[in-house]
Amino acid sequence: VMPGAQALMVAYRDLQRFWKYKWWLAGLITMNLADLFIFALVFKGIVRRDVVPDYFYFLAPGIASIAAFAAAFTIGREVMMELRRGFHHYLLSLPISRIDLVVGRILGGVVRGVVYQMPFIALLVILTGVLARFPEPLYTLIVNNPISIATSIYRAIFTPEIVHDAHQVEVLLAKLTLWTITLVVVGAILYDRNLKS
Amino acid sequence: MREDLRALALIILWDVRKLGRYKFFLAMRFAWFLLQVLVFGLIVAHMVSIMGPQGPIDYYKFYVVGAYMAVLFSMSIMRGHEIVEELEDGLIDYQLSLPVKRRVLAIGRALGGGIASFTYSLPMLLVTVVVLGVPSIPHVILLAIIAFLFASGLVGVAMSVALWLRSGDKLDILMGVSDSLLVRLSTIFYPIVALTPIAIYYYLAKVNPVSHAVDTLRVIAVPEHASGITVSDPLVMASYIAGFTLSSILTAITLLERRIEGGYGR
Repeated sequence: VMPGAQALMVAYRDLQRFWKYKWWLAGLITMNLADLFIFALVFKGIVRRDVVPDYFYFLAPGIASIAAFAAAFTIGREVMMELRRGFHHYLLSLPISRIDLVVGRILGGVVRGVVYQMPFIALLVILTGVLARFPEPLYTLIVNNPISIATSIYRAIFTPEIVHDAHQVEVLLAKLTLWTITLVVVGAILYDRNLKS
Repeated sequence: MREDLRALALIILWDVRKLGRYKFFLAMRFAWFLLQVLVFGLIVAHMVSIMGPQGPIDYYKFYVVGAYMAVLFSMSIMRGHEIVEELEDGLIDYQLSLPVKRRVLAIGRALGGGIASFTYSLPMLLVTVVVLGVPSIPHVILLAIIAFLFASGLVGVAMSVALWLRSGDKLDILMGVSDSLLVRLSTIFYPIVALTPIAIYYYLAKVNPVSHAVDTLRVIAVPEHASGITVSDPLVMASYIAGFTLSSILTAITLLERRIEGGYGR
């Protein structure tokens, strides 16, 4: 067996299981779209134009980032259900190394996040966004949040002409990589610990 | 009769005592609420500028009441998920085997759910009262009564839907969708005047019980900032909430009596 093939199989299984949640996904998409087409549209009328010229376009990239996070979190929900029902004992009985299982589950979660946000990225291709400046020191805290970093990267890609972000895309990518490594390592450690308990 | 009342009190108490099981959930909700009030609300209030019929609206005060209502809403709706979990775990079947009349069990669960949801939201209500500087104790009591009434109504709706669907997955979807639509198509985050440019949203928000509840809370908590921006007259809104609560609790009791058997549906 090729190295990593088993992890890929586990990830593939997780991706297949993703489609079983189609109604749940429909609910999630409805929520994200409600945020955009109800909340943002109404808010557009009351937000000061000098701060955010168009709140609808401002929120759109944020929705895509939030969507990716929400979809990636489905794997966490599933792991919790598996632990509750003792399904993880079955997974441990499979002829797969523990590390492959852990890597496969995390990879599955990543792929789910990417797949789910595709329609939102498509939506972003059509829409544009505007960046508002948040007051210091909240600004520093908020811009270093992984969701904000992902949002800034999208803005830099889709609406570079109207983004007033001081950060370079490379810096943002480095920050996001750091967040990803940290979260993946923490996720792997916690999942492995839960499997043992 | 006396035995029935004792059984009713025990069932209600059982629902409220489950608080200990939700320590983490409640702590997270409280943290979310504090973040909304002390960080998000302040930032958004800085960004928003809206005129009411009597001058500019203090959006921060407007938002704090909305954030409380959003928490109360999600906590009350959570009771539906609890009912489905209980059906799945067989706890409802156990309760049916107890020497308690079915009607008493149904009334107890419906009332207990409302009391528990309201109790869980008390720390947030306290923060709201402090942040807004609610003028007097009678105002605080009135706030609590309206919040309790509305929470009971929402619990009734959540229980009815849960018993109708009997499936955690279906409930997740329906509640997720209705949560997003009911909250966003209400006056939780924006006054009714902000909805006027989009007619369909405006009329949906006008009939949404959430709008009536949150605007009633505003009239009580910050009367000077709520005047002229509510969905309706305060008395009409209060009657609307009372009607909503009564009808939803009666529906829940009827469904609990008739559909409580049968366990979890897959």
